[in-house]
Amino acid sequence: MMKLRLRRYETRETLEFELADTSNLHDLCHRISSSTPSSVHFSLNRNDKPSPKDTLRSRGMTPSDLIYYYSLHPSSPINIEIVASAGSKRLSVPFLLKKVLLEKSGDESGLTILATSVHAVMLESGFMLSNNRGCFDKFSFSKDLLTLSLRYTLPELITKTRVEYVTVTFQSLSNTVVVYGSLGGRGGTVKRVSLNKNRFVSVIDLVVDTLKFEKQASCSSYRDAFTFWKMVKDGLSIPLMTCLCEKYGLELPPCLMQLPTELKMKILELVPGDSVAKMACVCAEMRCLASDDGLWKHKCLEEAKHLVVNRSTVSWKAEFAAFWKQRQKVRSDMEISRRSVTSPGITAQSRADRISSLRAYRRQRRQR
Amino acid sequence: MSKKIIFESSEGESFEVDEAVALECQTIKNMIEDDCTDGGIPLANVNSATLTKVIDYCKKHVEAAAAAEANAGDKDIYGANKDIELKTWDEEFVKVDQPLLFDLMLAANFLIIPGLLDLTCKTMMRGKTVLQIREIFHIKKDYTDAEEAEVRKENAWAFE
Repeated sequence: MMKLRLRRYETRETLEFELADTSNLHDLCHRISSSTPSSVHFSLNRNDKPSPKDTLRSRGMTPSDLIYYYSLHPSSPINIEIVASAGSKRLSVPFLLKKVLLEKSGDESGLTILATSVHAVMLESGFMLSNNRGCFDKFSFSKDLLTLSLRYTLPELITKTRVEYVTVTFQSLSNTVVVYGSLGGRGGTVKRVSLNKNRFVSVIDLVVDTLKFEKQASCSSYRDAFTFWKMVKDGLSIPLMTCLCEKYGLELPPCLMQLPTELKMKILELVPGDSVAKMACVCAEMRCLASDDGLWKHKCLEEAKHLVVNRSTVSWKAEFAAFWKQRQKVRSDMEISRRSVTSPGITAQSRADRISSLRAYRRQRRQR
Repeated sequence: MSKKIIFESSEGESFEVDEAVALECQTIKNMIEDDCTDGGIPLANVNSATLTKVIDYCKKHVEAAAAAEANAGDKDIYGANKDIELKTWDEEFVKVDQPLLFDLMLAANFLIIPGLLDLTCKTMMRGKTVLQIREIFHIKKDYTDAEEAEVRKENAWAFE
């Protein structure tokens, strides 16, 4: 038996099925919609219409896979897009890899490999690919292409009359691919990530083949794949999503300011005092949270116990600031004295002097 | 065989862990003491990806604690090495994308895992400037230029 989970894009509602190992797509359609199985459509990519007789395994589905699906309108067919699984084995990365595996078109150019991988990250973050006509397609590349643009939107926005997109543009340079992400027309937010072909293409190529990955991949290529993932997600997809969600008042992806106040306080309690002061400069809410004198008393206790003993002070923050300044001064004084101790008079000048005097002495001796 | 505890993520996925691992979470510890963990513990606000990481963290720390106890007799360099190893492991552990980092914080806060909360909070601001913090955490500047100058002056000591 294999267990599959299907999640609806729009509602994030998840269905769970158990199917026999030998089941085919037709069986799955029946399970999804027993009354009208023919309304369920699968698409892996535009040119590949799977036959209902294909078994699930031949389509790359494995037990405990998570499959996303969406429907454009309540009346239209359910469109199943086979996205990768978020199996519990290892976090996120297999998701990326499997996604890339499924999308891989056989084109081996660096641009294609990096673009499909970025695409995978975009999908995992919750974006969906959309073309001009508002349909949802896969993309294909031509080999000579040096730039490529993809447009993404969010499932929550597809019902809008004018769908808003984010545009992701790939530009292939000699050994990097620069990815620009932008929202809206001119003057909108632009995010930029540049990816080193030499570093990432080989890693992704290696890990695309999951089997090969399990056997050969060293810890370092796993780390590199993860670095790639983090760069694209933090530098591109999440900032773009935040902009888009803000514009339409949608729920933002998890971010610092979304955390409950209690947890924000906790963060301020845990970071060093100078970070608290920096946070206060970031925005008004943080300034308010960081003005709590109890917090500063705690910081004083942490950094300088002697300050707190026998003292009733008006402002713990001022106290801490004074302490901090003094400590920085001591540190820089120490730094200066350390430098002067380690180099007692051996300056470049005196060294050159000594060498030249040595040469002069040798010359004299030879002349004798 | 030790007792097993079953967690259920927000997606409804089940995770079976040793009781010792589950005990790392104060919230769960209380539940176990109150004997109300039969039939699994539903964690409606923790998703599978986050839960996997949380369990990873607890497992590693239980193992490390057990190893430290086994070596408690001879406090040699070896023990210190273990400590460094765990620290390196922790550092690697929190190298995650931001949404996951915040999910981990929320989970650590909810399940009460002080070590994990500490770890996730401490790493986030280290050595960053105000502009970087705004950029990285997508925080809108809501100060006027004058206000910003004022608040910067007030906290100038932190920038020296």
